[in-house]
Amino acid sequence: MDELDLTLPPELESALVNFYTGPEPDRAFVSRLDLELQQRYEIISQAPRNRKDSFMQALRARPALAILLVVLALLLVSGVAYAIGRLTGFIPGFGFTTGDVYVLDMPIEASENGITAGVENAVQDETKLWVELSVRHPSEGDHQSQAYILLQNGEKIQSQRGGVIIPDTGEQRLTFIFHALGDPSQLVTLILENSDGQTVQMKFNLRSAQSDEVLPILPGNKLPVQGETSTGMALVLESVAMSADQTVLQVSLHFDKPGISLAGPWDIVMTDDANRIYPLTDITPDTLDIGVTRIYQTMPLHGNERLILKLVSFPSDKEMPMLMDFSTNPATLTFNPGPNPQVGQSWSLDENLQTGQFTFHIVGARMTAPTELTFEFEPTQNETGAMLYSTLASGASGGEPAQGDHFTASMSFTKMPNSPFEIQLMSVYYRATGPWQVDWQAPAATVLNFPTMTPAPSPTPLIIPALVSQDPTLLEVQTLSQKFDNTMTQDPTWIHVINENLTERLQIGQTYPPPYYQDEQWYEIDTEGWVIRNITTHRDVDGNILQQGASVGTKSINFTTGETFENSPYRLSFDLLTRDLDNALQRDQSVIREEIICDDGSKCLLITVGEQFTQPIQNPGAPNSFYGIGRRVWINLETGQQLKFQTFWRLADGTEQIELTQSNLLIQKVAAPPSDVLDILERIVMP
Amino acid sequence: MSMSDFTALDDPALVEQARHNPEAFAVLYRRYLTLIYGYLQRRVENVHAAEDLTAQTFMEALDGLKHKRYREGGTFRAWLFTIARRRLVDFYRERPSIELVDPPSSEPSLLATLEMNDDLRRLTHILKKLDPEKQELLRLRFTANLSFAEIAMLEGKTEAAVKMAIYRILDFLRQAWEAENG
Repeated sequence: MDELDLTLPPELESALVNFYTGPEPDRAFVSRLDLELQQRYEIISQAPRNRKDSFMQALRARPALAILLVVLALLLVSGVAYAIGRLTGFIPGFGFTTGDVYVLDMPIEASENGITAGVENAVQDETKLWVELSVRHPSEGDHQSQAYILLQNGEKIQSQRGGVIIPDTGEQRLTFIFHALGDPSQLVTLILENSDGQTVQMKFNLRSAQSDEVLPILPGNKLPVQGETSTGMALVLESVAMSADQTVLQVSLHFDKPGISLAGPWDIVMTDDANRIYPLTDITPDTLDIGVTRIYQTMPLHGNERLILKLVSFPSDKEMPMLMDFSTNPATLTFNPGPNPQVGQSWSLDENLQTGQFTFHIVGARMTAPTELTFEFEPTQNETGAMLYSTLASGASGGEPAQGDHFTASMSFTKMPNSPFEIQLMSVYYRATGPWQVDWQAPAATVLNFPTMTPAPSPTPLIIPALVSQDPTLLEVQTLSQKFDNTMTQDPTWIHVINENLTERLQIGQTYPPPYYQDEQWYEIDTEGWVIRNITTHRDVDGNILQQGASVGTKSINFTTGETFENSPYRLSFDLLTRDLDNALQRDQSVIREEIICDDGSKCLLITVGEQFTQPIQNPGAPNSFYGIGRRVWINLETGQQLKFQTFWRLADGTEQIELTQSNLLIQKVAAPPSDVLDILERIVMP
Repeated sequence: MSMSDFTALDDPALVEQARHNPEAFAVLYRRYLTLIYGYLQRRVENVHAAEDLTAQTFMEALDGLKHKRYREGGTFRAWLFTIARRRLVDFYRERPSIELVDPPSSEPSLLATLEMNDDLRRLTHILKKLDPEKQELLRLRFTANLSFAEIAMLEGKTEAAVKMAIYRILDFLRQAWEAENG
């Protein structure tokens, strides 16, 4: 193939550059994000200080809004090392391979007899060679083609099967499967012959696939097991591979109509018929759309296990947010704002819009700004939002909750229309109810000739660095916390802890954490205080379980979301302050020490650490800018126990806005936990 | 090492430094902010959404670097765009409120519009004939300034396949451009 000439006429090149030159970001945004990243960096770097929280990362504490990252990062310590093992032998789409894998070295194209054909992709493993071709014929029509490969020794290999995959405008996509080539590196000739006997020849060769290379999808090599379709969606187990040391599963979401997608995060929980839970580690590569496909790695199977894969989401696992796109065939409505619409003006409407299986009842409209109209909807089924559009609109938004179950959709205009105009219903947000699950039985012969994976390195125990500052307040806090830790963690035992957490103000759209939740923990520790097992449960104000997870050794699993984590071994400590305080003193942040009487009448030490920002931070939707942040810890002077922990924002006028208060309700050593706690721990399948 | 020292480093060296030095990460941030933002802005056509997605991209990149989710040997720029594109997918999937376009911020002069838009108008007309996949390839090449190898990484294709695909698109543009010019 000739070297590709990418030279363009200068005017076209210039227009292309102009067209695609991205706009510059706003300077204020650049500075703000710079600052947020610096703060985030600081928080992550400090993360290992509170290792008692390491398992807590297995429990979701993510609000609906990503913009809250900075806020939450201050409340929840990050730092879990994800044990994503490097996988060999599994190629997303292609499936499981045996032996070495070879791929097309270079796409080629050739024209003969009016036919232009190209070898676009090729993959070979030990058993098969798969080739994808693009073909353009001189005339339209049904062009049946067959293909064979001519080896250098003159041997001909006939294709096993082939077919048109994607009919495109004037171009066919064909795939053929051949027996694997004995010598994959040899230059071979692929001959394509159409039904008229006309041929086109292309020479190509293969090369070894590189580590982590993403290979093309091979159709038809899947073993799907599809669960029951519910509300238009089904969970599908696409393929499974088992070896002596691991099992790899690929699952997908299938939708019964085009244009449907899941509008929220999802995960999988895998259990067997004894209700034992298999930790699934998400190893989905970046190149797959995680909205529809996931690849998980789990324990090796022994064979014949009856397994259940269940789709879960957080915070609600009973309903899934869905989106259906109707932009190709939208329902329409004509709206007349009148000749002189005014801000604040309302229109009572009683319009039904029918699109797909949805009937929308629009009950009113309101002019909320000089160039904005907001329409109010009354849901008739499970709709949660709608997106409207008009050719006159310059912007649109939808899905904002209104009074009752109502929701609104807005459109903005460069100039407010003053005569009847058409409105289109472009997409619908709705709730789907499950369950979605796949029941599958592992085959008896489990161990296939499948390459073993490189095991993830064992996490190293966390080493708590020595304190830098010798400030007397810091040393006092350290002494007190060590005193309390020593009373709790010097013998092998179980420790039961209950804390309550109050979040003072939820951000717009925040669904988690709720304003109040109780956090119950059970720790099993060894003679030196290292955590052997742990179970954590978050409950709402009524005692309902919000989420629950457990860790055994370095493996952690969230039962509610199905997420699995690898955490470093850690010594149990109830010290929430010492590392923070040391860091604050190094950075010349303000530290205030007060002796007070705590709520329970005991003598307490109150430590307040404050940090002033160089620039204020304005979170979207927040009424005020924040000029600083701080945290406060109450310590019992007699026992050394840290009783209460609080974080707050500092506003411009010096006042504080409390964000989170965590209070300890119970902490005690027990000989053994209740049987239900042990039962839960026994259900986790660990290697 | 000061920030000015870091600016002289190439990406692999800077990434290594950024794992334990915030100033090194700040240099990476400033190096790629405009490209990431520009690409996202072109995709969502909305300043606020582009800013939000840009922030998410860099926050995730920072977490990824600190937690060693970035694999050595890859290209940092392609990895950043991988994150940005995943955030875009989430954005379109999860967010009910999507501004379609921003209202124009200012009105350019009529003459300037005419001069500026002559070639652009012609190009826009031609580009509309391309399917979204091909338009994305052009965005990655011209807005994101990615190499063929980096685009290949993002698209899950071979470098040669990407090069051929872009060659075909440009060839189409060239032919259409010349046809429109008479």
